[in-house]
Amino acid sequence: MASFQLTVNGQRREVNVDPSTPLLWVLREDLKMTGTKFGCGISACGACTVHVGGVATRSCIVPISHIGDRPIITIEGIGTDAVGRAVQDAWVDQDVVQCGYCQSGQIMSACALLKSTPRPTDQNIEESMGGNLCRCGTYPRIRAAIKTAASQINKGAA
Amino acid sequence: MDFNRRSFLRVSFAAAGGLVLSLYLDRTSPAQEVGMPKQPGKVYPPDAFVNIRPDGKIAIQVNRLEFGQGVQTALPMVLADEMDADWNNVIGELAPAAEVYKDPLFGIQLVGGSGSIAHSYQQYRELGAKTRAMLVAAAADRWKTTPDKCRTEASVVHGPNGQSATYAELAAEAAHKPIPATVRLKNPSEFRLVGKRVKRLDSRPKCDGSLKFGLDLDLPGMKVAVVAHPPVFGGRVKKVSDVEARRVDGVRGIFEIPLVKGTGVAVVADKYWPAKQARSLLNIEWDLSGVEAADSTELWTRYKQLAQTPGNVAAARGDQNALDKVAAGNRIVAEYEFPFLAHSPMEPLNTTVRFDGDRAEVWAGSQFQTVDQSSCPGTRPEARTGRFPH
Repeated sequence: MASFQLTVNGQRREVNVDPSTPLLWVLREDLKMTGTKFGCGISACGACTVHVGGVATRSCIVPISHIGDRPIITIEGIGTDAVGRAVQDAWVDQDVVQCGYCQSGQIMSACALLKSTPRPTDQNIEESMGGNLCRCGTYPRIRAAIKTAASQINKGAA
Repeated sequence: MDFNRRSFLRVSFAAAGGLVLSLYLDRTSPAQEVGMPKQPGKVYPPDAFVNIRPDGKIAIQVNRLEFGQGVQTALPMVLADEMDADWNNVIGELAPAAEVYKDPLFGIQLVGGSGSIAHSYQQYRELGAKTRAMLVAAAADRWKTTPDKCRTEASVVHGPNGQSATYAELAAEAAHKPIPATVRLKNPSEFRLVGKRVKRLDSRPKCDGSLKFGLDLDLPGMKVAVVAHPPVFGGRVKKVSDVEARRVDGVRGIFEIPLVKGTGVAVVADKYWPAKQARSLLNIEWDLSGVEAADSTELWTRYKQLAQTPGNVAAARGDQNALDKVAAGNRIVAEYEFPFLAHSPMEPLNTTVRFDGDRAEVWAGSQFQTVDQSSCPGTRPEARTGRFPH
């Protein structure tokens, strides 16, 4: 066991866990933030995507000891950010979700994409979102919602 | 029915975080025998399905589970339409496992066979229409008029002389009105919601991480168990060395357990990560002597032979021999082979049980709540309860 200082959604948190524990399980079990989902545990599905130091990261394979002082943003916190809010609103507007289990990860990946590429092409979307699987097959609406969010954000920026 | 109502009320209280005005408590009426067949003598009291809250929110219990197919929106639409409820204030809630929420046709509570709307459309329309009728009766009493002189729209009853009252204002009085045995249902041309496009009711909590799936349940003192399964169906544990696994901090127990076929090893720990670490440290020798040696080629051969034999006829329509009359050159013949596929939901299968030696409460991602409920071993039937969030 070891103590780790984390910044999660802007708040300082301290956890005492085995250093090999993946960030996902620290979030879900120690910090009780269950919005980040466990899908595969081997970085294959993207359901566990969070931002670490601004980078979309599969939290199921990153040991807590590798986080350092990089800030963590999760689905519970992304809505306080203009891009995050626009993406969530676009998701609701386009009726993207079905079962919803993958959508935390989808939204986190989409936010990372729009922060680096405010006007993504279909190819940008495919490249950035390709690692986020959806068993319900909501992909066409995810693409539409990303475009809706992009135009909303760019309208605000213009 | 007592149990149903208790669990229903508990769920409603929890969801509202305060006072819930439950309509039509403890009364029943004969089911209206129209449309789809029902379980004989089955009664669906509106209070088990509709809650009008003081703040105007109308919570509708959905007797299915939402897997993404949209039933948590669709059945509330059907009920709200006949009820003339304000759609902006309708909430769809997933009902607990209980007798009253069983499928009217199948007699178990389930999601499957694409039957949610087909089997519960009439049921939910009647529930909505009866609720509306009771609200209108209450308003008519208040205004010393008759129900036929009142009309309803968006959770408001309007009287003949410009009076109006919201459903929330009328709920307590409506609760004392008899449940009508029969009600007039809308002509489809009168529908305000059915057949129209509305936004899903479950989007927002699925977009901000607040919706709780089965795996998100967190109970005080809860332990996490993972299972080491045999490499093939039917394999059995011959020998297990768990010395290293038991050394993992947080591991509480390691047990050999029976599986549907064969046996496996369960690791119980305080949290998921120690359980998984310990499982990977198990050294298991498997006995595979008794397993079924399935062979793909042999299976396909057998399937093809079976496909040539006459099967059970579900329906016979048209000319069964039409193909014989088509010239050979005009026929397109193809064979399709489908492998076995798992459902593979993104949420790993999981179950949580709170068991106090007499009473078990179960949370599970389940397609058949009341079947799971009745198969909880070792519990008295009346002690069984169940809540199945997803």
